[in-house]
Amino acid sequence: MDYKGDIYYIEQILAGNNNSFSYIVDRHKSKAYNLAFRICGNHEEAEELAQDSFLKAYRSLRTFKMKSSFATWLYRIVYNTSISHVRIKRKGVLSLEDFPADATDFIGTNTTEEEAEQEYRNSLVNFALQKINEEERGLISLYYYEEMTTDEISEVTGITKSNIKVKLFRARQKMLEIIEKVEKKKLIYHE
Amino acid sequence: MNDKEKYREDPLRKYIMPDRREEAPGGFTSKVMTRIGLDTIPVIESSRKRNLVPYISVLVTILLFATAFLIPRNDTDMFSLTLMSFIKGINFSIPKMNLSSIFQISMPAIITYAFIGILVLTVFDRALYGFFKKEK
Repeated sequence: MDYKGDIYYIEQILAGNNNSFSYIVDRHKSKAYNLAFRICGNHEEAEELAQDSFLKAYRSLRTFKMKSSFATWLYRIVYNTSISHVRIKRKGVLSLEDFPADATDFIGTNTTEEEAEQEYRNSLVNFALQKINEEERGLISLYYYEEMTTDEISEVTGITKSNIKVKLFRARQKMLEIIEKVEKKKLIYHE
Repeated sequence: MNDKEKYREDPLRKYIMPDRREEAPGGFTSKVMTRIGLDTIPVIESSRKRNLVPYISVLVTILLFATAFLIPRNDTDMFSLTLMSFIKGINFSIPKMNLSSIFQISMPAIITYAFIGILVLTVFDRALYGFFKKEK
């Protein structure tokens, strides 16, 4: 397959070939969608936010400096768009009771026990993510899902490297506390 | 990439699986492209044109200053006299005012230039705004 870098397509777009943007969207859509989803916690809103971010990226493509990575630049747009959206539309606090008791609740007609366990863990993480603040959600998502270094996260978020480490530490502690509470609740449920 | 040792020690890793990334829903790319198609045909073009606005303004300002300095004093006086007589001649549907007392005040000539300059630049600015707003 003929693989061309982002810069090639960006140059095509700037030369007037708008359709080249579809290659860029195709390449980065899941990363953008995933980050938006981890921050806002809702599939419909995440789709809207990811689309808005691509639109913003398209509109300000001229301001993009070709020397840096397009993905980092796009992440910055998605991160800021999602954080602002969540800040405007703050939701009520989730209670532990809102989370299903155990993995058996995730077993569907065609799922194995192992898949149900993975689904349970994934939902548990999403649940814990919704209990921490939006900035921490973004950092956790970039660090764990996108496996970015603190340097890269700093470039995306504009937060200093040392501050990211502190915030990540706190967010991690909070999430583990929530996960522990849910796991305890699960034990009580089974006793 | 994250450090491998830290990776193993981190208890949150037990729960977070990077491969469990949420995938964008079907038709995502076409939806984005439709939205782009709806409002972006002029985006890149108009942004090119909009980038010209400050240059046009600077050019006009320079021309205006050059005109102010290069036109011989007598001609300018003729021009300002014509302008004054035009202003005095405005008497349709507004109460007649005695402007002569105002314009008899002796002012340095530069104020007349500045006044005319601001007037021309304002009209020009409004025209540019109207033109590029339409483009948008």
